[in-house]
Amino acid sequence: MVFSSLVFLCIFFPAVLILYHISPGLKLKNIILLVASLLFYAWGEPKWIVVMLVTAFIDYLAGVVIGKSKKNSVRKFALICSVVVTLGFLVVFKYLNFFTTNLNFIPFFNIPQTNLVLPIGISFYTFQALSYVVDVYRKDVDYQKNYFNLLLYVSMFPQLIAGPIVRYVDVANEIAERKVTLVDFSDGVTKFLIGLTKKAIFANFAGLLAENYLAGDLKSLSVLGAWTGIIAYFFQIYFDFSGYSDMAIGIGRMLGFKFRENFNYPYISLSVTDFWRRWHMSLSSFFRDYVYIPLGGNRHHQLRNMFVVWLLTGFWHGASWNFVLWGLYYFVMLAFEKYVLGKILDKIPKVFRLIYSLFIVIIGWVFFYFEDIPSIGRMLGAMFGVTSVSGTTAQDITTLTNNVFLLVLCAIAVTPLCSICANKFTTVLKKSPNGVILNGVVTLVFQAVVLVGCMACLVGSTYNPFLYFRF
Amino acid sequence: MSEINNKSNRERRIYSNIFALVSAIFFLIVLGFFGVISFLDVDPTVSESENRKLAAKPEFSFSSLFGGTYTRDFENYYSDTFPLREMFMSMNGKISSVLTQFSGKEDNVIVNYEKHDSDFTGEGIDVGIKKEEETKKDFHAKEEDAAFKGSILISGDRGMEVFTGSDSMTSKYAELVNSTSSAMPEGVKFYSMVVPTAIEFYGTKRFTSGEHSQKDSIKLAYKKMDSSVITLDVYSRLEEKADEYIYFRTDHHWTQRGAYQAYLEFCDVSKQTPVDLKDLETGKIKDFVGSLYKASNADVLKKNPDYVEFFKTRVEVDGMVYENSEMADGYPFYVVARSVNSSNKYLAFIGGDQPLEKIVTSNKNGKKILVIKESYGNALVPFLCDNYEEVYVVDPRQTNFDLPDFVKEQGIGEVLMINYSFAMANKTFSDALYAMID
Repeated sequence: MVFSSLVFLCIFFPAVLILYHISPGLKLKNIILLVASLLFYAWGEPKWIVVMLVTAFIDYLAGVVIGKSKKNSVRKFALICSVVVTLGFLVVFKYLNFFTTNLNFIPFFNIPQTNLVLPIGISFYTFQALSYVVDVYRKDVDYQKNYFNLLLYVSMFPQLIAGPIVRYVDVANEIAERKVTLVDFSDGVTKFLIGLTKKAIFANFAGLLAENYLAGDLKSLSVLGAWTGIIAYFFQIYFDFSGYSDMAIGIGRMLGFKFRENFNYPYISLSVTDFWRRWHMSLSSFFRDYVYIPLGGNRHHQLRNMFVVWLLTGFWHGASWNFVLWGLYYFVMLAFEKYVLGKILDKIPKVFRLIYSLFIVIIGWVFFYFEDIPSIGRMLGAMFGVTSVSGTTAQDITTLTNNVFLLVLCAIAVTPLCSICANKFTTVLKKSPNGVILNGVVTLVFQAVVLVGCMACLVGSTYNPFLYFRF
Repeated sequence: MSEINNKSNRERRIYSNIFALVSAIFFLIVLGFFGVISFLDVDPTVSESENRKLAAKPEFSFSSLFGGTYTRDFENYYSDTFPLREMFMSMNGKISSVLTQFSGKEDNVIVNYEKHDSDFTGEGIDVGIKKEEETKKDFHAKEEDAAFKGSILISGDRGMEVFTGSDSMTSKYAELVNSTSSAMPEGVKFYSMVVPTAIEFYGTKRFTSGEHSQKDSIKLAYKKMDSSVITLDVYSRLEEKADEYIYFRTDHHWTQRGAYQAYLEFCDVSKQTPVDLKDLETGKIKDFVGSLYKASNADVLKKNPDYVEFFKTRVEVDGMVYENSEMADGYPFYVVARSVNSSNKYLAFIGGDQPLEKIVTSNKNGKKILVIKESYGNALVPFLCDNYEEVYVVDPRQTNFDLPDFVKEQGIGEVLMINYSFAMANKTFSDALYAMID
């Protein structure tokens, strides 16, 4: 199930919320949440739910052994076992076919392909489970004594299939004790609706525009068409993914969990380094804490460490060469920025730094969107005028005019402008005598309009993919 | 002082809690309401507005559950039968038109759609002819059914396909015409007619200049043709009459009135006396919503349907459809029909796209003409009946036989090749015609 499906929105979600809040006691609430999460997962992945249950169990056992044992060798052994098994599942389901396909290019190799389909969300929950075991090993957190509580952490439906990658440290206390105030709940509703709007309106309409250009024959793309397409995709992927994270965070709040933000306005970054501090923060911090720093961080072999991290980041997004290229592209850009460009960037006006960052990011999305290398070449060719088609065609100019409101709204919505205005407005309102009431009314109206609008878009449009669903 | 502050703080807290409660309840009620209603209401099975069958509730089985199809089918069923779906759909349409259909001063909206090569294999009324497997051309097998982007410009209540020409397109087309012409037996007069489409006369300047200019493309193609090919400037004729109903607004074809202008040009060049429209019996077939609506789904086209104005032939005609040049087991067809059962009312003319048609008229002048065409030729053929004793019509996409041989055997003196400008780029058509002359 995904949050933007009507079955989730109108059946599953209200039912879970009501059951959850009317049941007394945290124990019962946790049971309801666990059962709901397993149902949520099984709805989309009825067969391979087993993998998740086993992963959680192995890591639970490892946690217990590591937590209880005083012997370093035992602790280490348990850690290695759990990492091997947990990552093993990921490798088998996600990367095996990629490796065998590529090995089969070597003469005399003929390894049969498996027909395993990537289980939903495996890349996300595997990383959550891993972070738990490693944190217990590092004594950053106490081990979980109850399997079902750990399973709840791994499988919790808000963040289960598309992140954010929640750390066990951050929710350990909340699993044991949490409460939801009415204001929490209402804030959660607002956050959820903001996410839903990003997804159902911005991402889906931008996606239609992007597909219009990128999913067709690239050889007939004009320069203008290529840029319109990739910029629309640039918006789509941000709204799609950050919308999903916002919904997850909002649902978490309604259930008493405070997940960390996953995006911090990445499209106002002033450098590529800055971009990666703002984009999918739970993933970059995962690689920082569990790969980069253990390898030596910036103290020794910094370049090698960066290379490894970006190779893995690329590969994490999919078992395909284009993602590897995408990761390495960022490695090159970040290294270049660190050693060469950084000093220059500091000296030039902000607007140029912004343009530079967005340009690099947009080119990056070309590698991300097209899974075959020839298409990447053709697309870059179209963008930079190496094509037989003229720079603009009449229909491309008109299409751009037709979508001008969409693009302007998207451009505004990727900045903090809306949230700054909303905060200012609230502060001003609250100062007036009946400010609280006014603020309440405004919030309610906002929620109602957005909810109905989003539902209309979800019911009315047939285009509703979730990009990060496949990772 | 602090007491007052405390009091107002407490008040504030109470108020914000009340609002939070209202918002929570509202959120749950709205979502839950649709959840509950959707189980209680009667599910519609057909959507009138979309003209399609809605998904039905899937049958539960463990195999479908574990195969993942049950949950997917259920989601489709659920969203297809969602309460107040029609209302939400129209709301979505409004949101969509604000965000993605800003038409500006020029009142232009582009709708892109996926075009397939197979869309271009032609459509004809089922007259009973059985197309045997070996004669019927399977273009899908020969070449993958390539999807490419087509764009329709919606301007006011008119839809128009956007034309983009290129040098290689005109060269290839001229080559096709030259090859066909030179394959014909000695002494046969060969005419080439390339017809512009509506956008050329009703589109804004941006869509008719540069590479989008059909005028330039047609001129260029004509220039590249051999001197033995007699080219027909139908462009100027149509341009002159652009204020008349010469093109459909919801369909990519011209009207018969438009085709008449081309016929006048042909008569002029071939030195024949054209029949006067006033002398022809005429009528209208109403409510024609054509291909441009189907491709664009633009509401404005559906709400403003076209009509087909037809002109019967003055002379008596007797038309037969044949599968190929053997002309065995023919079936009769209407050269001009007064009504059409299909939603494609343009099929009123010569029964749509048929493999080979032979029309014998009551003229006794011994003149015979062959028309090589795609669907654009259909509306013009009836006028030719007035000037010839026998009119042969071949649609290369529907049949395959030795065309030069056929012309020789039948003693045909003139060949008229009619294509609309988009067909210049159509590989299906050119492959099919090459197959008949090689």
